[in-house]
Amino acid sequence: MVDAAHCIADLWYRLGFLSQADIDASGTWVTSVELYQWADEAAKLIAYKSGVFLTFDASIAATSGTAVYELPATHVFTMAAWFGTTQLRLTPVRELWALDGTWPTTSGAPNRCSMDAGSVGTITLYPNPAAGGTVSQVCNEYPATIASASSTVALPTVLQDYLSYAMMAGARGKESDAAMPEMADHFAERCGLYEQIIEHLYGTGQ
Amino acid sequence: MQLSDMRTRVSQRLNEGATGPVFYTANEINAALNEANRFFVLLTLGLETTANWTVPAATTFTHMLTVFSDWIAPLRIVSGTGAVIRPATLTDLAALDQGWFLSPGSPQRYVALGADFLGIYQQPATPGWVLNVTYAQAPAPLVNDTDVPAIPAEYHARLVEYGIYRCRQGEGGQEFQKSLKYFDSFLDGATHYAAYVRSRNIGSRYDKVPFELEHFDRSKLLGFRPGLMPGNELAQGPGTVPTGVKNG
Repeated sequence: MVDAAHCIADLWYRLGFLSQADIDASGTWVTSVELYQWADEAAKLIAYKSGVFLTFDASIAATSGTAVYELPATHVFTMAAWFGTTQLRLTPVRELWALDGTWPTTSGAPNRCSMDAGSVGTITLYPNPAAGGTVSQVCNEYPATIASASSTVALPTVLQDYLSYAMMAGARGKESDAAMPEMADHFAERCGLYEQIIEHLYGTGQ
Repeated sequence: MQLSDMRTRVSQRLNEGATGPVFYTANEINAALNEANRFFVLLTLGLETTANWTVPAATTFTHMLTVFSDWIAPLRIVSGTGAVIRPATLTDLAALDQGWFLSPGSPQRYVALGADFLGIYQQPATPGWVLNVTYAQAPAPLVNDTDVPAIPAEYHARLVEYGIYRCRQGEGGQEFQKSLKYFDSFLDGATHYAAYVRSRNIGSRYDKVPFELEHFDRSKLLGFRPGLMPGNELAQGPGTVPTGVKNG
């Protein structure tokens, strides 16, 4: 696990501070809150650029006669889905129309699902379930917002410095008396290298 | 090389050798060396370990960071009887068994997804299944002066170079630009060792190989953008003499 609080402790010096108290003093050119925000933005970036935050979700309870369900709030993309123990074939809506001219009203045991048949952020089951069941899926979900009270992220410890460089790229690129655009540029390039390594080790995103 | 030795070398090469770490504090240099160690291991997957994992019964998916806190990526999984649990994709498993994710039995395949998400097919029906997991391991933090990085000793000097590069990050501009050659050398060392680890992992039929750093374009990383550096701007303001113009 990576704790973004450790990242902040690791970059005081490089941003010209002496301690956490120094960075938290009023009127500083950058605050801990801002640093956490840059780490949070970096985590959300790799959540769609890579498949680093894959997990198993079984939170959707399907009911008889209802085909469309909201995806989890943090859902980014789905790798595989099941209705009960039946694997659902991910199918675009145009193929559902080609398969069945009255697919919205066809009822039965679901064996397909579509991410574009309903509105954005929903999953549509086909056929419309005749009986209830659980929709489970392997999906990428972005992590909870990184902030001082919730600073841990489910990443290997060797990726701690990815968040540190994201924080420093943001801090040095910010409009301020301490801005160092050339360093912000370098730190952003370091983040880019980390992102390529993450994609190599953990797969690409959508 | 011990942590204290590496710290002294960084300090000396930052011209603080006579008085010891002052401007660049010991804590800062230690943090730089730890970052160097982490980054070297991430680039090379050069540390591995093998440990027993008791798979929970009737469970297909596990986040391995909750089992092994130093997890980076799986290299090989073997059953208690020595049979290899083969890697697979979700598509492979779906083709093999439509209901694979709830299928009970003895583990035969695994699917590794994301940073630490591991699925086992078939899921053990009873508790007590022990698998032998070899995985790329994150390095332990270097805390005490006598701590020695676990990477091969011939690469410890590259950590010292990274330490200099990182200490200069706080200064920026031309001071930092001068340290980029050390970062380049660090990347050369990591590339060299990663090539060895890659060929070794392929030979051992491991399931992951290191990132191919030799195919990464370092030019933007090591080449500063002069237009962003005030120190590199051509002096053209009042009272300055443009380059190439002689007085008189």
